[in-house]
Amino acid sequence: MGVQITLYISSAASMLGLRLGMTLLALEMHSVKKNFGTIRAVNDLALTVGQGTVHGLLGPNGSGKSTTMKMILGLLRPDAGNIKVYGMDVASDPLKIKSMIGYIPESPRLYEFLTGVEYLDFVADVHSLSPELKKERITEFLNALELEGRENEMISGYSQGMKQKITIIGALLHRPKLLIMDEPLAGLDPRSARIVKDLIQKLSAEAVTTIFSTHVLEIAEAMCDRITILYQGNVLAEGTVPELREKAEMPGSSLEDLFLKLTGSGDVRPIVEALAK
Amino acid sequence: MRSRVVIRLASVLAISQLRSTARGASFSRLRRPMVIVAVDLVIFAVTLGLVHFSFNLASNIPDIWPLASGFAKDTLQSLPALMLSFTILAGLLFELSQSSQFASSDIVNFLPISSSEYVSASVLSTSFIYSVILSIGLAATLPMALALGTPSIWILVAGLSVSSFLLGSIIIEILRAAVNRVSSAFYRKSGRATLIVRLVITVLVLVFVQIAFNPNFLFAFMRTFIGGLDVSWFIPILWPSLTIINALRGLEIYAFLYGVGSVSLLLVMLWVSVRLRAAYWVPVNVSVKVSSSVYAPGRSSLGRLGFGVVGSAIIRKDLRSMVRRREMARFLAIPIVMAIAMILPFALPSFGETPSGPSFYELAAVALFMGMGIFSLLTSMISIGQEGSAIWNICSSPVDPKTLVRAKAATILLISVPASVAMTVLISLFGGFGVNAFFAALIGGICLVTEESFVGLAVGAAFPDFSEIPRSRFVTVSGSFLGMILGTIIGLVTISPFAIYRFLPEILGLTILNLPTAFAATLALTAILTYISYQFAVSQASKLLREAPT
Repeated sequence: MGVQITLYISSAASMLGLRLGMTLLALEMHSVKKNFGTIRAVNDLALTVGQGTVHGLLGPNGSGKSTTMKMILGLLRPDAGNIKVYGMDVASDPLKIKSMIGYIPESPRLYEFLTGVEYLDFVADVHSLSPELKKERITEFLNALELEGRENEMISGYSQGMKQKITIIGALLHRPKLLIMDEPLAGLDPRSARIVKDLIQKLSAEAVTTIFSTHVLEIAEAMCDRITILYQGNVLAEGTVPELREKAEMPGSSLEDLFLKLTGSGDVRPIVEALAK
Repeated sequence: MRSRVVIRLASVLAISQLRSTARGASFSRLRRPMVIVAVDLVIFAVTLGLVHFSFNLASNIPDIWPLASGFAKDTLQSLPALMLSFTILAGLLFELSQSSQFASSDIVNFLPISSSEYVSASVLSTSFIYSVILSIGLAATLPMALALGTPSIWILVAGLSVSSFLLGSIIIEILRAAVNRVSSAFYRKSGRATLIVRLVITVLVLVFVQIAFNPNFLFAFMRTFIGGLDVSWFIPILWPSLTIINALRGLEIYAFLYGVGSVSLLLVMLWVSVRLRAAYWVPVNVSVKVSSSVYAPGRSSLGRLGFGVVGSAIIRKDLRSMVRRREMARFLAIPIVMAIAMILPFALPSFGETPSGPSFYELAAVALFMGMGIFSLLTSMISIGQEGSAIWNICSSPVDPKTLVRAKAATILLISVPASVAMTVLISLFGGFGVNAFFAALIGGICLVTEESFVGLAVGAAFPDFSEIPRSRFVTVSGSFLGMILGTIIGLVTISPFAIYRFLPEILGLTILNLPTAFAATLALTAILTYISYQFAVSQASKLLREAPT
């Protein structure tokens, strides 16, 4: 009986591609490349993200952050390399991968002709939530993000922040194991941004992994367990903030200073002075 | 009004329209205003040469010349009305399809540009984009006027045609402002009925305007009720044609009066459109409160029809899209306009009396089924592309291609099949159809809409157009041409067994098929063609879900 159980656990673990005795990996990317015509968006990218961690993807505009996120979700096929989510190849069972992930795109376009609650109802149905569960979760999230009373209005009349809140709720409704958030706090009011940040930390404690990109480096510094800095499709640096400081030989400096040094953006003061003239 | 600003803005608007649907840098290099000028000149020269050659030939054949000269006179008279009709049809179908979301963020709304400058620039831009039609019209009529020995009339025709062309663009501006007004009237209104009323009003406006500005209809109407163009002075859009008729007859004073009237009409309409633009400058992004009840997810009735949860969710979303999106109204209006345009000429001569006889009702049935077929084909062709940028919602969700295709097809069939049945019952009752004819119409109609839906879906999945700025088309140009051709061929193939059964004995005295065989043949053809289209649509949807459009 004991042997049977051991065999069962070990085969289940191997089926999931997990390595017992090590940190469980939510994401593994090896030698991933993606080109758009002659433009190299992602070049030989290798990235591993442990389960339950909050992993920040930083980089200047056009560095390949959004492309990387879309490839993880299976919205884009890599030209080379392989991507595994919780040990499963993204290309092997896209539906299963998608049902494990909650995604917030950089500039989400919603179905503007639906009301907020109709949109969430649609997302919940697509994830096959039961009527009771979807009612409970939709109501809970609408209240938490202060959308109650506006949920029956068409999305076309919502502000940018309200649309962002609806997108965030849509990504969380099915309790994903991996959250991919591209600039999730853009357009949110301070209170809602705080709710989302706290929620990410809480979900992390419940073993939900979050990969998110932001240009607000203070947020990344405060929230992320580990950070990857991308530049022109390549990984420039990867690690915790103290590790990045060590690599850049800038002890005690802010993440912003580190980022500017590592991406070669350098001193911005001459530019500011020239613009102010 | 600053003419430099008008010309600069007109140029920007024209470039924006030309490049809005460009795919790839090499293609967009051809999308310059100068290319349109070059195309206009080439088309003008080619048309001029062809028509000149044809009329030269005709003038040497005594039997043909009276026909040719009559045709030339009719063309000269009706060219301004045709130009007006064309710009309104093209403008309505394409300009008003712009989604209000993009219209409201239109950059000109935030720049110091007056309403008169904007309207003038927009009118010039619209006219310029469609100028190839004017070019063909003017080139075709010049040799005709020369052949008739009335070159001075051509100058009048050219001037009035340009004026009508501009008038059409101005009327589009007026309609655009009116649509903004209608949209804002519904702002923050409550209830599902609001959305239905808005859809019905928009479709009715589209149908009415397209029928009302159709010169064929207007001329037929005048001939039926009054006896011709001579007494149609009270219809201002026919004034340019009346100017030419009177000029051809040598009635200079009448020609002068109608000419002044035509130019005055242009100026008055321009003034109206500037005033309306000033009043309804920025379209309001519609926010309608659909319901005030507390959210309570119910069990979908679609489940009882055999649809799964995911499929039902997609069907509900698409049905709402059809009812609530302004861009969708034209796809509902086109089949209605086409069916009415087919029936009207046959209904008009007997206006005042009740149309009777099986032939009229048979024709009406054909026209209505053609309308339903076009509706099924059009709506299914756009059903994938209409997702627009929001396609990521589907691509990032656990939706498999078969569910997607079945749900999209079901959305259309849920409308077109009951509509076909209802139409068959009504027409059969009014036309006194026998049992055989009733079942033939019923089965033929259902087969037609089913097949057209799947063919359209296959084409729409292979050639989706997700671009939304500034004109949403939802299917690429090549896709829409292919869809139309395939839809026509497949439609004809499907109804051919019934046509052979019904008409071959009358025409050739041959009976090849009896009714049961015709039924069986139609059903077999429908099953085969639907299955092939379905499989193709699934493979295309599968590709789409694997590599989402960026």
